[in-house]
Amino acid sequence: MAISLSDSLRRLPLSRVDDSASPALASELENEIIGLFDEFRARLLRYALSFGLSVHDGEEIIQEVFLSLYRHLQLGRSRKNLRGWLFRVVHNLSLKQRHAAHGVRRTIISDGSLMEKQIDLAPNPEEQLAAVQRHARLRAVLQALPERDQSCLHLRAEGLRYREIADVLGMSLGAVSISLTRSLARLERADEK
Amino acid sequence: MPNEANHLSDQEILLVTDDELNPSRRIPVHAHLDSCATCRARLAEIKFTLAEFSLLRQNGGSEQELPPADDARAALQARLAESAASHSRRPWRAIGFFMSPGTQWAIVGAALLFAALGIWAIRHQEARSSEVGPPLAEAESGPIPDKNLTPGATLPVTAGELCRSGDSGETRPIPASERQRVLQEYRTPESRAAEYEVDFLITPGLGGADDIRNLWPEPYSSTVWNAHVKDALEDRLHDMVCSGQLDLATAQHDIATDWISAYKKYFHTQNPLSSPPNSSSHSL
Repeated sequence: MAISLSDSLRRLPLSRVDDSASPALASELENEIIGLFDEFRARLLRYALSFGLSVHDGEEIIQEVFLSLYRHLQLGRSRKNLRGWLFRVVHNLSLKQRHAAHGVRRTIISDGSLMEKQIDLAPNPEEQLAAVQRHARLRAVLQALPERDQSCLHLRAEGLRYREIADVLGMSLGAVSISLTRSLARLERADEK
Repeated sequence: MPNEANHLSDQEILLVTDDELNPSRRIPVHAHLDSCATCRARLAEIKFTLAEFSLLRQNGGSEQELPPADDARAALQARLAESAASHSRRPWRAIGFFMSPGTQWAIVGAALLFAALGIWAIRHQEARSSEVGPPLAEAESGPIPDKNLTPGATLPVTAGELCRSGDSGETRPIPASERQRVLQEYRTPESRAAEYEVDFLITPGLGGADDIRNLWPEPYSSTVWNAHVKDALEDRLHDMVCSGQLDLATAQHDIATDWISAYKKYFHTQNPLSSPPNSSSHSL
C-alpha cells in the first residue's frame, strides 16, 4: 500500500523516452506546460485546498500534476480534455494525500476560510452583518453535503462542464445533474431563510 | 426547486445549460423553454445560484489568498528542465541519432526477436514453475486470489468506526513471518518470493482483518490489473462507504469476490484509469 504522496504519484503514467523529440520540441513542450500552469494553477490549487490539505501539500500536488502532464504529452497521448485530466489527477492525488497525511475523514472546505473574506463587499454594517449570516448559512449547508456533492459544486464553480465533472469523479452525467440539483435546492433553501 | 408535472425538471434545466440533453429531448425542451416563462425564470435562477456560488468561492479564495505563483512556477521550470535533461543523457538516444534509418530498423528487428525469445523463455520457465504450485488465477489478464485460500476476513467494526478512526489501512505492516506463511500456502517457490507483494484482500480501511485468510501474494509483474489499481479501488470504496454512498458489507463482499469486477463496477470502466480518457470531445 502506498503511504506517501510521492508513492502515490508513482501510480501515474511513467515516462518513456521519445526518440523523435528534439531539444527544440522538448523546450516547446516545457513552455506549453508552463503556459498551462499559469492558466490553471490557481483553480487547481483551490480545488486541492478544498479537500482540507495544507497549502504546502496542495502546491506539491500541483507540481506533480504538471510534471505528469509533461510525461503524458511526451508519450504522445491524447490532448483532448486536458482540463478534465488535470482536475481528475488533482482530485485523486488530493484524496490520496489526505488519507496519507491526516488519516482522518474531512469535510471539504473544512475551515470555511474560502468563504469568509467576501463580507467586505457589503457597503454598510447592516448589510455586512446580513452577508456574514448568509455566508454562514451557505457554509453550513455546504459542509452538510455529501463529499461527492461538494466536489460536483466545486468543480462546476471552477468552470468544468457536467461531462467533465462526470469524468473527474467517475460518475455518470445523470448522477452529476442529480447531485447538483440536490445541492442547488439546499443552497436555495438556506438562502431563503 | 421541484417543478410541476408540466414544467421542466431542474435536472433537465441543468443539462440545458451545457447542451447535454438527450437528443430526443432537445427539441421539446427548447420549445417548452421558448413558451414557458416559469421555466425560463427557473433557468435564470439556477444560473444565478451557480454563478453566485462560484463568485463567493473565488472572492473568498482569490489569487491574493493563494501563495504567489512565481516560486511555484520557477520550481516547476527547474523540474521540467531536469526531466528533459535526464532524457537527453540517455546514450542510446545519441547513438540512434547517428544511425541511418535502415540500421535503426535492423536494430529494432533484432530487439523484437530477442524480446520474443525472452517471452518464450519466461513462459517456458513459468510453465515449469506451475508444476511446483498454482500461484494465482488470472482474470482478464489480472491476478485474483485463490478463494479457497483467501476468502477474505473482516473485523466486527462499523462503517462509522472505520471512518472516524481515519485508518485507511495504508500503513499497516504485515509481519515477515505471516508473509512467509502466505507464500508457502500459495506454494510460491522461494526463488520467486521477491516477485510478490503480500497484500490484504479486504483492506483494513474497509474492515479487513490481519488474518491469513485475508492475505494473498499479489504479483508485481501484472502490468494492467496491478497493486496500484487495486489501491485505487480501495480508496474509492473507502470514500463511498464513508460518504454513505455504499454500505460496508457490500464493499467488503465486492472487493473480496472479484476485485477486478468491482473496479469496473465502481469506476464505470472496463480498463484501469491510469491514463486520461480519450473519448471526451471537450478540449481546453
